[in-house]
Amino acid sequence: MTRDVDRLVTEIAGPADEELGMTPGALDLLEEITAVPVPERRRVRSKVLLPLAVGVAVTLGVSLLPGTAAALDVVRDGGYYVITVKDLFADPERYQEQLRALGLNIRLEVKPATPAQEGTMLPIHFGDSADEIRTIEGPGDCLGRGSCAIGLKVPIGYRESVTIVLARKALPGEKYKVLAPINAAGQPLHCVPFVGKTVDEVRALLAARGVNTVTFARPDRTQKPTPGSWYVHDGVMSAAGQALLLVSPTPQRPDVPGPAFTLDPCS
Amino acid sequence: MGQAERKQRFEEIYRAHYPALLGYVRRRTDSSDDAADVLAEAFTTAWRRLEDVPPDNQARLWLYGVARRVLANHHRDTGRRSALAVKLRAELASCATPAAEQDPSAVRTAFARLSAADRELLSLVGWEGLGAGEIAKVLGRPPGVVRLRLHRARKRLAKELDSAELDLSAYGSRAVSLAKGES
Repeated sequence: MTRDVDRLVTEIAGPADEELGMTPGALDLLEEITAVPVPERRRVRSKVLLPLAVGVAVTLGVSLLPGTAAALDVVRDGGYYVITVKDLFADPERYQEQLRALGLNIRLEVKPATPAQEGTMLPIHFGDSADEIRTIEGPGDCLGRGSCAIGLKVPIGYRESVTIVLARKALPGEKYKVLAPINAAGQPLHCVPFVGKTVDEVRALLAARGVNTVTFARPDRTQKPTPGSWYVHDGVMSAAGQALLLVSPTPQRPDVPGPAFTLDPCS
Repeated sequence: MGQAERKQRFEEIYRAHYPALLGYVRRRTDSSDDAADVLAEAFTTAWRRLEDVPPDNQARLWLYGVARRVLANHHRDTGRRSALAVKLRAELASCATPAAEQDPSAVRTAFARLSAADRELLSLVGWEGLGAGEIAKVLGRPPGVVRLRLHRARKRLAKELDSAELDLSAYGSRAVSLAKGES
């Protein structure tokens, strides 16, 4: 199996390296990059002096940004910063300022999500540059896809640049940006079988749980009226009291790109 | 390291690994502009962090790792164009290869359904020809973990291929993206 699968992947590779030699454009880029001198001083400061100052400040319990209440709570624990979110509605710039002051190049994006997800941080790229960042496991089962976090443990001196999504409670009427399957823990159809049922049946299940606005994702990508006899294959909460359902005319799930939330959050 | 010495070392790395890195980036971007941006940023990072670049072939793996992170950030930053690589941009556009996405083969569809992490693992084997030990260096993970994840990724692709054959007969591959929240 191994070789077959690898061979199939090779076949969809795109351009090979040999087709891409040094060209005038490549030499141009080389000149452009090396024309910018690298300041030695900046490296020394960011590597040694700043974390030292921060370390002292954190140890003494001194706020690094006098005058503004900290949006994040930072504690040193061994070789890590333990960062928990204090103010979920703070201006994102304030998170960044605080993290920058710690010498961390971490960008926090605050996105509206369902109430059940409030306070959770989701690294966008698992197994990516966030490899060394550990999450602090909190209660609950975020999205039914693994452990839920309410904070981060970041190695002191962590230099990579990484973006982390922070879920906050959506304002009234605001669309969710962090999608939750409608059957995840804390969501309306948690442990309620709905896959394979008709649109009418699922509408009734949702309405009984306070979800009265339902929109549809159809295989033809159109906004045509969706018959109540169509089948439901998947669904996410799209805003408070609003669900988005993946539907098709047959009981067979349509082939749609994107993640399929196949994990059973009840198990 | 003095600036002249620095420049010489960087040029060696650049010339040795430019084709491999451009290949890596082009296989993972949709447009030649994106490819030029990511390549420019990855090599600029190498220039700034030259002291961190390991010797010989290890440099290529290190560069793949940097390009990976640049790509990850770039996908969220579309529209921001680098001022660098103007000529390169034009060259890449003129020799545009047929975009991989134009061919909705079952393999490509199944591959697209995998998680980004699975795709990257399988690509590093199938596209860059790396072994588990080398991938471990690119990703900064222990080789044992990489081998296990690779095994699982292969199994998941095989499974997606099985189900894709069933699904594709009923629906075209150009369908809605539920994950994007389009309604």
